[in-house]
Amino acid sequence: MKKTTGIESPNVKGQGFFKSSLLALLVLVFAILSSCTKNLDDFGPQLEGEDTAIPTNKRVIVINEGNFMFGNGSISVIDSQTEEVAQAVFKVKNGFPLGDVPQSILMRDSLAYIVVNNSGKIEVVRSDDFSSVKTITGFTSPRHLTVVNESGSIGWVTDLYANKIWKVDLTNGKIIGNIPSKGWSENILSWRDKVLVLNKKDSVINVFDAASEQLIQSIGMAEKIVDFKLWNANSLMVMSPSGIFSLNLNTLTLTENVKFSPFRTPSRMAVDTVLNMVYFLDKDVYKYNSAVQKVIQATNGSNFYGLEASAATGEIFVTDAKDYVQPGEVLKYSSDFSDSVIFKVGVNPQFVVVE
Amino acid sequence: MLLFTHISIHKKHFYRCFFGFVFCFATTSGFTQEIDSIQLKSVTVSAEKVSGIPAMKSVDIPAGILETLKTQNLGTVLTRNSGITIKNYGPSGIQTPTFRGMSASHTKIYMNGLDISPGSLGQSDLSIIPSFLLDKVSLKFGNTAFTEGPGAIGGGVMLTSDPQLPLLGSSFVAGISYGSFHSKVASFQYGYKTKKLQSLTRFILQDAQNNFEFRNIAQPGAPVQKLQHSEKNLNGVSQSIKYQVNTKNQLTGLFLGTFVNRNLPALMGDTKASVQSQKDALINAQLGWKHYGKKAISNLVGGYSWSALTYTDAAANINSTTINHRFQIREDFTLNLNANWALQTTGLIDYAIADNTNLSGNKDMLQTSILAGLNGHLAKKWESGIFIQPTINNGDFELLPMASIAFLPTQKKSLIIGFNVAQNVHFPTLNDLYWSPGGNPGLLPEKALNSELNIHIDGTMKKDMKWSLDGSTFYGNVDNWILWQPSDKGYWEAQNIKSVLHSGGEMGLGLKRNFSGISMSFRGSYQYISAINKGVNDASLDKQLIYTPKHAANWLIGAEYGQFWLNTNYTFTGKRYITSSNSSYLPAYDLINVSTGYDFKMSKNQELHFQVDVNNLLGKEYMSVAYRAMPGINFLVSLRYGFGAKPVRESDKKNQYSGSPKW
Repeated sequence: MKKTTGIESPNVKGQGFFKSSLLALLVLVFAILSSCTKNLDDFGPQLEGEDTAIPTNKRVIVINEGNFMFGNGSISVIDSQTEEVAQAVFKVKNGFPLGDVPQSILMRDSLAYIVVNNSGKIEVVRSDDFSSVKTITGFTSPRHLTVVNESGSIGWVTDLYANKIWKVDLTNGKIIGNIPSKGWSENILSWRDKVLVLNKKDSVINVFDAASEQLIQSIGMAEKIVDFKLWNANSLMVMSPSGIFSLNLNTLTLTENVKFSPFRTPSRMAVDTVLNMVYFLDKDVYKYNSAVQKVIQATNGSNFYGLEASAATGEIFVTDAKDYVQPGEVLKYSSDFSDSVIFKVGVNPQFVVVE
Repeated sequence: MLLFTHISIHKKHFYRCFFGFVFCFATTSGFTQEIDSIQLKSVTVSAEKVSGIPAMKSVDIPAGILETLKTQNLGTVLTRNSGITIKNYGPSGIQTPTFRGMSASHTKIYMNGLDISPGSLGQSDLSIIPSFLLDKVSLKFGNTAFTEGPGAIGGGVMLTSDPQLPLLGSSFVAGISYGSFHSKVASFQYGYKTKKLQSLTRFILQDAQNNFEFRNIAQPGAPVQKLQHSEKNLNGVSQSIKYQVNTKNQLTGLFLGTFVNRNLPALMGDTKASVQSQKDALINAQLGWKHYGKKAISNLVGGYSWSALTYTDAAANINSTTINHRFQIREDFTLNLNANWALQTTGLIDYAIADNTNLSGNKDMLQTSILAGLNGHLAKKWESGIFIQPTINNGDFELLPMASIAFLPTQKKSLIIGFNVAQNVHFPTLNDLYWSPGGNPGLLPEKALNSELNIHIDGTMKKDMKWSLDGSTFYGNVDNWILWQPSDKGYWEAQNIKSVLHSGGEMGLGLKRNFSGISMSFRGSYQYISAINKGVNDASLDKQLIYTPKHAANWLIGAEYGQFWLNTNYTFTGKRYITSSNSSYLPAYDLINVSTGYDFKMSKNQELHFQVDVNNLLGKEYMSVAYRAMPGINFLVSLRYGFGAKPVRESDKKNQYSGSPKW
């Protein structure tokens, strides 16, 4: 502490200088010796727990958003046979974190494209072991990717803020253009020669011609559109607070399947095209084929966040974000909901791919 | 014992003070300089037996430390020299304080007793308050902040602007600093003092590029990169006036303003350049009247705070401005009932308005509270206090009690054992209530019940070594803890989620010794904080709160020989969990900061002060907040010239234990 006494100032020359220099040296040495933490190679966030080998087949891949601005997004991979879970597989394999708010993943051939929203990038990895192949950068706030040509070389990427849909050369990992699309573009689906994009700002499904990149038609509803999924070869299932609708992809006309009364606040939808079942989240989990029925009641402390259904097994996967600041869970249910298994995954599990 | 001056004044001096900043640009030959050899007559007033509430813990940041950190902001001062946790988002980012595991909104920042936190957010950013504008900084832990009004259930940071100019006439100090990452600081202080009046005008400019190199472990191959888009510019000004009307009345005035422009860098893992920036402005104006009666002291302060925060993110099309107004009137009245007992009251009227488009225009909050209680001697060696604080907040009524008892076996108060217990309440902020979407007008206030046991011992060894030892333990809980969480409505919503049980202890040691012309001092503290989740039904139950280190410590060794001095500061921040289930964490880190300087006496009234600061001496890589880059070793060289302005060392002498708790 500076100048804490009223002592008389001594002669600072000669002996004084020696004393003060010695004193300074002693204090510094003491300070340096006091330093009790090592400089770590990885001084960033650490995960407690053991590493598990990444399964390579019959997997459930879970995209964990993490927390906005925490940079703690991750991928968990569940081995469907052993029911073991490999955590943070991207970081474990590549030595650096996936990024901030991974939003979706597209598995295609031997590659997987992980769209990382708030890091403004797409990480391209080998789908078997998640080792990094390349990083596509230059996005503003990317959400979802779809491949729009038969060779698989061109992808379109929706974006929350960019007011455009990005056109990406997936072969060399570069953005090669964009298609104007005002507002928040979310879901994207390539169907034959068309590309359907959910515009959340205007609450419309915009239909683009994939080749000319021109907007063909905007399909709107009175209520906001929450989600859509491909239902069969010729139709989409569309979810809104007012009900569930079918969109005929040939005629681009909407038909109401069921009307919610009163309106609901659905957040996610999944479809089982084998069992012809629609599932959706509205705090709890509901199913619909001929009527809407609650199938899973959220318990105290649960916050259901993501939903997926496997047409191959009929299983339903519900993600539970818990308090949104801790590792969540994936709850796997059998098709009749008589059996369930819980898997611990990363923070805010949101997007599920069943292989 | 209360001391104040018996002095007189000429009217013309009063006007000179108001326009002091004009004079400060005049040549030094124009200054009047009169040595204050009269040493203003001390007068003992009858209120001398009034003491503070016993058994409460507050810690002063020693004036000498504050003096050597005049180029820094308040967050840095507290990070290095206090037992509270500062969450630091980087050199241009915000710095938020928390006490004993509570949240940032549970910490209040008071300027001369008035809360300057914005009503919208309820928490303050310490990075916008330069320490240069402050005369005193102290911390009130836990229940001690109860006497400042409701809400500070964690604690309170007490800032004081109270100029203590040593000499009559004019004085000034001008300083410049230059350091790493293009850091530049310029400061100027003009003081003017007569027998009745003191005026102090201060300006400070801080500017830094903050373009330091760091190892980016969030990118492939952990490349060394330069931080981009992290510039910060701060302008601060203050004008303090103290006018001694007569022996019984004192008037004070304060104008304080800080204005910050800063760019916010991207997270380490981002591939896109950040286009986020933030502007902060804080203006605080106060008028005070202190009256010393025969048996009573009255201190009336009225103030107005205006703050504006503008956040822009061009990529996300966000341009949001929140403006806060806050009007407050506070009266502290202490009446000595007899030789043993005093009646203490504090009345507070606080009217806050916040304006943002997401608040649908203006939203306001009116809070009124009256603290009343008795404080005094139960017996010769026992002091006790009992208080109630009825509070009305926008129509919600709460009755808050506090009781304390202290055992003082020695006449010199070299051993004190104190216990206190209090109930406090933190009302939801205007954002919590009304932000659209997600604000929840149905929120309940957060209710806290805390108890503390404090022990203080001091003494002298071998005549020339003074020491003090302080220990505190605390235990309490907060119900109706407010958190923002995603809701089934499709947006984040403020909700009363859980309870938090917090307990722990703090230890402090102060040593000071003079030998062979060398003065050495040591000031160290250690904190253990357990702040765990209760009332939840998931893996976070009984787990430590995120970003709350269980272990933290700091120490400072000061050495002085003649005009040369050296301070070495060490801070240790323990492991901090970043998930509520404690599955992920940031590793512990420790930092060493060294300051050294030499004071050249140029003449009787002139001094040149040279100082070198070396921060993060060992170049440690660390994160205070996940994936926010922090600088390695860096330097700041300062030169300061003072004319007629004695350094603060005089006031520092009084604080011989360098920040020990006050009793």
